[in-house]
Order: sequence, then structure tokens, then C-alpha cells
Amino acid sequence: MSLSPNADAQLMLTFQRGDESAFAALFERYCTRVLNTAYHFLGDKDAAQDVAQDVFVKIYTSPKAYRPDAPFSTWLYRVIANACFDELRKCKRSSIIVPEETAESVPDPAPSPEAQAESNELAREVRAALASLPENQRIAVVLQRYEGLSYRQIADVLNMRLPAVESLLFRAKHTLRARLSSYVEGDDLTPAAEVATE
Amino acid sequence: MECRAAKRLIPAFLDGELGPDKEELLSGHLASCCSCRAEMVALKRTMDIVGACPDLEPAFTLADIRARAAERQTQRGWFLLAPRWATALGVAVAIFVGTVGGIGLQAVHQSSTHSPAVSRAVSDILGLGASDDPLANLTVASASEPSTTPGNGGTEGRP
Ligand SMILES: [Zn+2]
Repeated sequence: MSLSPNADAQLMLTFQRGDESAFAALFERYCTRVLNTAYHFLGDKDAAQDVAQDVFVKIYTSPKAYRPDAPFSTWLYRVIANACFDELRKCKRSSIIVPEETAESVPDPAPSPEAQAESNELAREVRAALASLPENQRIAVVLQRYEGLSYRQIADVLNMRLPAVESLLFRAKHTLRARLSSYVEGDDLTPAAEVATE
Repeated sequence: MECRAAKRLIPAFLDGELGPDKEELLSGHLASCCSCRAEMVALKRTMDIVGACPDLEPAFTLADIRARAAERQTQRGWFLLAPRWATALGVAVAIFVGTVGGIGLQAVHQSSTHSPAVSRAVSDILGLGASDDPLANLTVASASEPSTTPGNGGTEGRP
């Protein structure tokens, strides 16, 4: 992550001129992010691995599709979002929730079986809650919460106006809040969620 | 500020996306409204839970991407070339059948009439010895085969 956005664009332009090492550098830099954007969006490990590879294959085989009028990462997230939307439509995987051994990297190095089970259950619930969101809301949450994009960056990726992104995220977060309320300590679901439905 | 308007701003506030004016307004409201404060805390906890969902490790390498890309390009290449190849192959087969079949038929027709001089000339052109006379061989072969149809010389089915 030490490279600047300009350096990414430069790498992509270098790759467009046929330098494979530039593609290798971009792959190295974005591999995990592409995969996990797809994973948090689709909620399915195998589908995410597959979609992530397809995203890189698309870039590899059609490098000229990138034009330097947008930051490389904006363009890349757009490619990922489209690939995820396609995958949803193709396989109706939106309802597939990873049923077991969800936690690939558990924060606690030696969790008790109870803690592990709780963590798996919670992860499943989070995926189910995310999967219940309409695709635009879901991708907005994934880009904001997992990828750390600003509202402005999300607007650029999704080709939307800023207030539209604010609205998407507001509705998405209140749906998540309602669905996950039983996991939030001391939450008796105050009337806030009602606002989201209006 | 009313609670309803305040609650609308809470997600952007937690994300650090509120402008300074709205942030000041909301902060003022939160200081005096425990319902909105509770809402803010609950939403923050919810999004912490969502954000704590574990990541995946890539199960593929750069070599896999290159292999998949090559595979796709090959598939695309075959797809694009298939009609041309089929046409080219058809033309080649037609020419081969036409040429060899033509020679064969010609040989049969000429088998009883061609002179040794013609045979020798053809052999010379093809760089063969006298015993390799192609026309003579064809004649011998056709003569040695059982003739089922009179006048056909038993050449049916030959290339
Ligand atoms: Zn209030």
C-alpha cells in the first residue's frame, strides 16, 4: 500500500505497453482486496475466488479497457462490482451463505470451541444480513466498511451522485442494524430503524 | 434539531462524512438526547460486528491468472477461427479428392492406350525409375483388383 494512486495508473499504463512486470506488481498489490471485495459481497468463498480470478483475467487480457481519466482503483472497483453483479445474476448466489468453517483468520489465536462457534455463527449472520441487501446497497457497504472507501470514492465507482450514496448507505446500515440487533449488546432496537424504512 | 433528522445523520457522522456544520448540529442534539445517543452506539456496534467478518486468503497465484487468460484466449481463438478452418479444410479435401481421383480415373481411361513413351516421360518428370512408372502401377493395381462392375475397372472407392 505504499504506492500512490498515480503509481497504480502508471503501472497500468506500463502494462498496456506490454510490460508484464507491471501487471505482476498490480496483482501483488490488489489481489487480496479484489478477492475480499468479492467475498464480502457474494458471501461465498468459491464464488469469490473465481470472480477475483476473472477480474484479473479481464485486466490481463484487455488492458486497454483502462483509461487514465480515472484513478486505477476506481476503475478496478468498478470492474469488481460489475463482475459481482454478473455473478449474482448468473448463479443467484446471493442466497448462498457460507455454512461452515467461516472464519479463515480468527483474531483470537486460540479461541475456545464456544467462542469459535459463536464467531462462526456471527459471521454467518453478518453474511446473511449483507446478502439480504439490494446489490447497490450491498456493494456500497462493502466498499465503505471493508475497503475503506470514502462516500465520494464510492460515488465515483458506482457512477452516482454523493447524496445517492449517502442514502444507499443510510438504508443499508439501518437494515443491517435491524437484522443484527440480537447480537448488539444492550440493543432493544430503538425506533431508529423505522426511519430507514421511510 | 429533531430526532428524526438527527438519526438520519448518524451513519455519515460515524463514518466521518458529515460536514462541519451538520456535525456541530448533530453533536448539540446528541448531547441532550439519550435516544439518539443509544441509536448511535447501537449502529456503531453493528458496523463493528459487520467489519469484523474475517477475510479470505487468495487460493490463486499470478501463474493461475496467466494460465486462465491463456485458456480464455485459446478458446476465443478457436471460436473465431473455427469457421475459417472448417472452410479451409473443406476446400483442401475437395482439392485432394478432385486431384487424386482425377488422376486415378484418367489412369484407368488411359490404361489401355497410354504408350511406354508417355509413361517414361511422366516418370522422368517425377524423378522416378522406369520400374516406378506411376501410371503403370495404377494400371497394374486396377487390373489386379477383382472387378465387380464391368467397365468400371474396379476403381470405385479409390481416392
Ligand atoms: Zn434525538
